[in-house]
Amino acid sequence: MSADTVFVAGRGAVSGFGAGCGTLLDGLWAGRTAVQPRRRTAGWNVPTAVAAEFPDGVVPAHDRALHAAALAAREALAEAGEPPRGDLLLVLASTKADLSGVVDRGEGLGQPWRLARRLAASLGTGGPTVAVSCACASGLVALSTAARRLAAGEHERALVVGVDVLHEFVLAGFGCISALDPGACRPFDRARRGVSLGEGAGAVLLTRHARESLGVQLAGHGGANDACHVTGPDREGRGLALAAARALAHAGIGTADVDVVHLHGTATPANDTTEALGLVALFGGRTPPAFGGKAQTGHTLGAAGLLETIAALEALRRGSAPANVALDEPDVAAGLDLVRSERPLPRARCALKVASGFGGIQAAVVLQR
Amino acid sequence: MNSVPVLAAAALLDAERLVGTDGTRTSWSDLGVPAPGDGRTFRAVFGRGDETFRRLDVASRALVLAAEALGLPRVLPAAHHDRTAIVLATTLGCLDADRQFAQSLGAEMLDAPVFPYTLPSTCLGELALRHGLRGAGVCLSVAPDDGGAGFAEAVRLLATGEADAVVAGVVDVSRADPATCAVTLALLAAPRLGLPSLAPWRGDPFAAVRAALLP
Repeated sequence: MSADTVFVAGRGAVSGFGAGCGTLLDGLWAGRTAVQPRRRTAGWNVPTAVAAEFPDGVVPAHDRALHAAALAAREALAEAGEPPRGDLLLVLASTKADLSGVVDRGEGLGQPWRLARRLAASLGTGGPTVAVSCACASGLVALSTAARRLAAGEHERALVVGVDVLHEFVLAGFGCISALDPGACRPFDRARRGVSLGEGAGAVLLTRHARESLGVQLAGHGGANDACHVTGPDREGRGLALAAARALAHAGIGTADVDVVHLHGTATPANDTTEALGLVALFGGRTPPAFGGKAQTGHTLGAAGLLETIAALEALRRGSAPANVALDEPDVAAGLDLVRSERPLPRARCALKVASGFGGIQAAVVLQR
Repeated sequence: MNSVPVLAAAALLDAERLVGTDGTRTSWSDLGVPAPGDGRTFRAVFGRGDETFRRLDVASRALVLAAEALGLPRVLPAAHHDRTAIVLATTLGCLDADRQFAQSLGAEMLDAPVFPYTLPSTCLGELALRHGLRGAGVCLSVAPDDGGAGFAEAVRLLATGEADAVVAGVVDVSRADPATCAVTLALLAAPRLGLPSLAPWRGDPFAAVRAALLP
């Protein structure tokens, strides 16, 4: 273990399952889904019947992004034993943050730095505030951004929070580019037709101190760009594989050391196909057991990287990978070992988590027990 | 080991002009268009076409123009493109595109072509694909007093060895307010690449860029 090792000390989550990491993880491992007929958003004219909305009462009707982010952040801080706030780095990941001022009155302006400052004030984090907006890879890029600063000794701890809430702007946008499934999404399935969106907030407290660890370290991180298209993936998933390879190299390990993969798995035909191709090529023809969660939480955009890193971490802690929900007939590269029912992984020590975003941005992190 | 990066190229686009270390020096008044130009500006400045420039949002257009004025193909050997990252900082983000798309929510037809540009990181992708840059991408949303954050993050990426070179800078562009247009770009490289330095990289990064461009 080197001096620049970064550990996970706390986790927090708000998702379509409700508030709390336990609620999220129990839902994922039980095979439930929060993607349900739209209720709060039912009046919006968008081409899908479903979304993973926060259950009623979890966050107030106004300022949903701030309240959800704060709720997840406070859970992570509590699990980490309420670390001192004076030098606490806050890194926020979000795509649209608070859209007030763009679609109605307000001052959010869709600019994540504004939400980050308000969140920092609400939590009293004390240290610098950084806002990352890298499309659907925001969460993993935010983890990398925080880990880089901790490893360099700039801070002792960092609170990384990802958040996005549902808005007609975003649902309609995904709809008009034909990226939404009219029903519930089905990642990696032959019948997949696109994304189901969800709202979420995830938080991870990172620390340089082994004694504060939950027993898992953020051992590596890496990034890449497809450099081929702003909305479509590289046809062979080369950028995603490159980001993953860089994360493994940063962790000082090889593909043979990875026990489980947490997928991006948006359920668009192109994303799932190319993700599978890239990972199968990276792992030399056969991946470790692989699972994703967007059929259960919806695609939570800026929160996805955090919520899904928490799920990957849980796979190491529980020693099992949950089933890929809504997967009846896989039609991606056969070498992607998609988990079909909960798979025991009693000796799992290493998880790889990957993400992709518009702009060709690819990111990966490696977690190790 | 020397960890101070080399400033290998620079470009500046503001309310008055576009200048770059490739020799580009043009003003909006010479071109007869308000900053940061229109769909014809790429051809007007560089004398050749760009297939998709016309359909880009205003922030992407400004970034693509500034990046071209860096002269990347001449300065950065293709062998380094796989490990060249892009780090951008922006305060305004994609507010113009956001407002354009939001207006279409009440219209008969949604403005689908603009939706991908309602992310501040999309312009980063436009830059990456034009120059084949396959390093990490980081887009920071920063307060007005924190514009140097992108340069600082670029230095971190070089110091950790995550990138051999970084196109780093600030992109704040608004069609509604041409006076605020500002793109400052620097190509920072690890010293081991042996690229020539245009100006010392220390202290205020904006001053270093200006020193490289406006001696």
